[in-house]
Amino acid sequence: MQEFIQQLINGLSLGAIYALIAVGYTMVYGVLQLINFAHGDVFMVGAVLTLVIARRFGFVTDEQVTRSWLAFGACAVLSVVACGLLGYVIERFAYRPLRNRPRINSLITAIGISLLLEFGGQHPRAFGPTPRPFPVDMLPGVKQDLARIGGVVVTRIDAMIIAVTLLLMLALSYIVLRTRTGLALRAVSHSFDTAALMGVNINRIISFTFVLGSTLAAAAGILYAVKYPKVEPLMGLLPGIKAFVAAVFGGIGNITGAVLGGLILGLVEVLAVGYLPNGSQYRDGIAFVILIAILLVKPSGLLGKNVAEKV
Amino acid sequence: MSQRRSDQLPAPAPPGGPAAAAEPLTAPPEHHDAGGGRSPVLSFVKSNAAIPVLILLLLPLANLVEGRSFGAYNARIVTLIGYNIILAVSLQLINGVSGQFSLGHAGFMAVGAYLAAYPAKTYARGFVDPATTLLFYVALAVVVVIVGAVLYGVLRAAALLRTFHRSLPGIALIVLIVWIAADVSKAADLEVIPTWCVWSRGFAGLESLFAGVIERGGAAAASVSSHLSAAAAKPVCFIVLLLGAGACAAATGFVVGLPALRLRGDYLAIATLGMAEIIRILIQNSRPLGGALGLTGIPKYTTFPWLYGAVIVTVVCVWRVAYSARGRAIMAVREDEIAASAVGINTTRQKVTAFVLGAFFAGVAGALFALNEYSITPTRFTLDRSIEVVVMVTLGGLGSISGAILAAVVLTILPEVLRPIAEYRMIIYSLLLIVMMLARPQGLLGTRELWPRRFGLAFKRKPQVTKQESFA
Amino acid sequence: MRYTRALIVCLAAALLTVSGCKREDDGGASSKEIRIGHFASMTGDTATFGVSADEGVRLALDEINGKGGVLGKPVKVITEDDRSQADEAKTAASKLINRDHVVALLGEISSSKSIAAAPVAQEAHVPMVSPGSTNPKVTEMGDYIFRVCFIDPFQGTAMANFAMNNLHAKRLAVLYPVNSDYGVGLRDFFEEAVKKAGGQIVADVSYTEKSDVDFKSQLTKIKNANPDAIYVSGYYTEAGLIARQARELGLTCPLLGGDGWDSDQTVKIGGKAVDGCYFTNHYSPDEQRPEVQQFVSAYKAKYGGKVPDAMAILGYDALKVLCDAIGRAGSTDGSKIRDKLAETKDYPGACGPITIDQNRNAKKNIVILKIENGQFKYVATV
Repeated sequence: MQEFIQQLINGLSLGAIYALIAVGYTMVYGVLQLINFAHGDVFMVGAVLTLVIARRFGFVTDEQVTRSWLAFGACAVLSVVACGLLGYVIERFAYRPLRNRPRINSLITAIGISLLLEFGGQHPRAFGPTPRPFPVDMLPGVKQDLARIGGVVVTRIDAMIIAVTLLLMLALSYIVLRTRTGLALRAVSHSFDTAALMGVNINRIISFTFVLGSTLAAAAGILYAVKYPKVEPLMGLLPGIKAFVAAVFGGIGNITGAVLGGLILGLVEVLAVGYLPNGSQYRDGIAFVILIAILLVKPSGLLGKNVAEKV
Repeated sequence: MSQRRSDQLPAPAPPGGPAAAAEPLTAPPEHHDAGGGRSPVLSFVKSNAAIPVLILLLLPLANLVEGRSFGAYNARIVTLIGYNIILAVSLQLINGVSGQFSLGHAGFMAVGAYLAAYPAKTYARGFVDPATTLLFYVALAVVVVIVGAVLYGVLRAAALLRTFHRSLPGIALIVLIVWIAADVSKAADLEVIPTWCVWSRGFAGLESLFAGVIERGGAAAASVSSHLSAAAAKPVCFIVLLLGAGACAAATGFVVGLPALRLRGDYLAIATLGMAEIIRILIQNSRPLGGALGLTGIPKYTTFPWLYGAVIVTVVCVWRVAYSARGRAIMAVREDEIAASAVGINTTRQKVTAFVLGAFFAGVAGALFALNEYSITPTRFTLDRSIEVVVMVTLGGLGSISGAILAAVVLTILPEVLRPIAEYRMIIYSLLLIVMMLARPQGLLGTRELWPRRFGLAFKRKPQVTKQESFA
Repeated sequence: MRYTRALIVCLAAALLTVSGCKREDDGGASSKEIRIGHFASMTGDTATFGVSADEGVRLALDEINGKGGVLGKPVKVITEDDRSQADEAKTAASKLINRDHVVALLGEISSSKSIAAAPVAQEAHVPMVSPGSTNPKVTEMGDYIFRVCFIDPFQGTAMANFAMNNLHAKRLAVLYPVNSDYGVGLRDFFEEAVKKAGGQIVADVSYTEKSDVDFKSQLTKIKNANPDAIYVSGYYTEAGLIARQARELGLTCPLLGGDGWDSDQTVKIGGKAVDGCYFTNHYSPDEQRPEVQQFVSAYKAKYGGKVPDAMAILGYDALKVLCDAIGRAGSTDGSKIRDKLAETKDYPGACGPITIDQNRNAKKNIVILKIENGQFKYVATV
């Protein structure tokens, strides 16, 4: 039984990270009906940039690492802001010109940007293909356990991930539900043209959505790197795809659905790997099986609404 | 969600070329109808003559390409172009002509490659035993039919459940998956499978059925093969492998295409992506197929004539399907599904046809690939490869078959040309993609073709009688 | 004209084709320099190994050319990227042989890519030296294919014997990467050796290399089997994480590894968790042999203080052995180089004396290293 609870906690913290990424996907899809393939790579940039900034400021050198929550926080915040900017730039120069064209063009462009970020990162001048360790040691005391209840270990890292995700989710729901911009965002995702007619500045809202989604992805990247301290340019591929599956699973376009989908996906993944024989070989396949299952049974997702098509 | 222009697929380009611009519904009378008789033989020959000519051209070209002066590296590039043309054209049928955005083409190629490599290695015995190879595919078909029957039963049961309550099928699906998982995990640890592990016994039973069919038919097949002379057996065996692998891939296309029908646009893309990855992971985890290390020791048979013969066949087939009545039906479904079904077109059938056919040729490409390389690994068939083919198709112009061919050639050569700046090669490739999409979103050719659509069609449209019929 | 468009497009395509398929002429350059080709993964998901190997090769190149080259001519190494794909490796090898007219090939680290490219080299009678492919099949591809590393059976058996004899571990668990030919091969031979020596494999669990970052489920399973030691046959990219998570779960037994563990990343990521772990390697950075020390310092000087990993030293030795053979052959003829390669005996490589045996595999010493306080400490030679 305690192994089960251990796996549950593990799954929850993994699921929280997926949820953060999935929210970004779902928001962008809600307003633009676009699968932003580059989202997983913004996740990667968040983690990589934090390491690069820490090195640049001398917090991390080959010999020693500055142990300071403040220093880490500064690097993380800088990285998140930079990723928000990155999201804005991507939208402004790659997606906006194609807004009136068929969706497949935006999709291919998204793929192109994803490849650019990945291969650009792999270039020896940029980051290089070798995975580097993430400076978790900058956070003193974080590697200890938080609590041991029975035989179940709750690590501080897991607790931190869940707490930060909760905070970010609360902030997000405040923005989306309680501010005018959030209202405009919901309006645009409900009906693009009508929102434009009602005086919403579409370009501004879409840029805002991208920035928001990208900051969340960057935060997810940093949390992921804290939990699994190995960063490299291709690290965003798989989590990106899985988070997208989570978004679809929960109902794409629906933020609560994305969070729910992320959590469930994380849980199922960890449990399946734990309880199936040779489960880890099927770890990535599980996400896709869930995807196919939900697309067959309820394509609009768990919390999605079946929008009837008017003829 | 609101309807936006971006929801629709690329608008059809105005009919290209002044000559074709005003193609009225009734074709103009045949000008070169000298002699009064519209000999069907003559018109058949006229429209199909290109094909045997092209095939005959293959042999001297083969001598050129495989000769010493051409160079092995250049020959390799030509081979790669060959695979990519088949892949691009077959995907064009699915993505361009039928308008379904499939990101899973590498999965079909994987099925074709592995299901040609495995029998080639195990049953063909140096390509002299076509009958046993055929037996392999027959045994496979038997197993698939049984599995299909079971699946069909399950689906009917699910449909029945739905009448009771809307969410019952979903719950039943979850229960089923958990049951199978538990069953398989329990039985995996034990030597003897207990009686209650229904699913594991089922899988084991299928395996023994497969082995049994091969065993029982093996002797007979070997004797049949021995009747063929060695010189004849090799090409026959090769063709059996190609067609068998293609058929397996087509069956996979059927399985992938059917459920994917209910999905549109991006959902379809992700569903096909998911299915291709599932196929790849299944292959990666199956011991007889080599697992993660892949299959090695595959005998080599593909040569330039075979490869480009297949290229010609693919292009001709896809062209003829696309520009026939059936092709027009498929395009109608692409343009406006609701209107098409209102006019009486069976949308399901058209969409599945495109998938199955596209998958068939992808499987053939995979088989040709596998029988040329000494070894194949699952990493050859990842999402990246699907994306490569999608890029070829989109860059060439969605809906243009000659565009796909052109893009395949260009995009195969481009990385090789960029080798001197190898460090930046992939960066340039992705930048090119982005710039191309921003600068010329419809691709190189849009929906137009390099040569008129009439070329390569089987029959010229029979001219209408234009002179007034007397009613006397 | 209706066909102008078609004509223009076809012309453009033809031009591109022609530029891609240049006539493969000699260029006359082979009289001025010795060309060697290196095909490796410079991009893609196994890029970290390819880039490392290439760095080692380049370092050796500097040294060789600094001493006047080979046969009185400078050596030029042309590196081609295979994008971490086996069929690309074949294309890269083909290009190096046919377009660049290299006299010999270096490559690849990954066995599946070496296997894919070997037929090209064999058919063209161009000797191919793999720095780091450990699957036995590679040299079986033909008599022009060599390697300067030991093969999996040797390594796996060595660690198995060490574990059972020196560490007195009778119950062994194995955690291997399912998608790596290196990892699977090592695991197969390790298990075989353990069983032969009378030990017991109590758990055999897999993970997916380069994609898994969470090994808790696998480690929990291993923990339940209560092993004396765990053999992790993968690369350093996961070794550090695995060790960390094992310790977090309360597994205190030593972890064992192969030469894939050789990198400072193992210690950087693993931290205290990897203390007390052992792995087999080609060399020990402790070793006072001048070749080792000189290599390590030269590498650090050239690459900005980076500590070399196993692939780098293998790449370095591969080029050195190859050039030595070319020198002894006295010509750039493929068959002569091949024969001299096969006769290599006790070449003083940075890894230790290298002898090529009759199967074209390298007879080398294998060292067992223990990780203590973040340092690799030499324990034994096998």
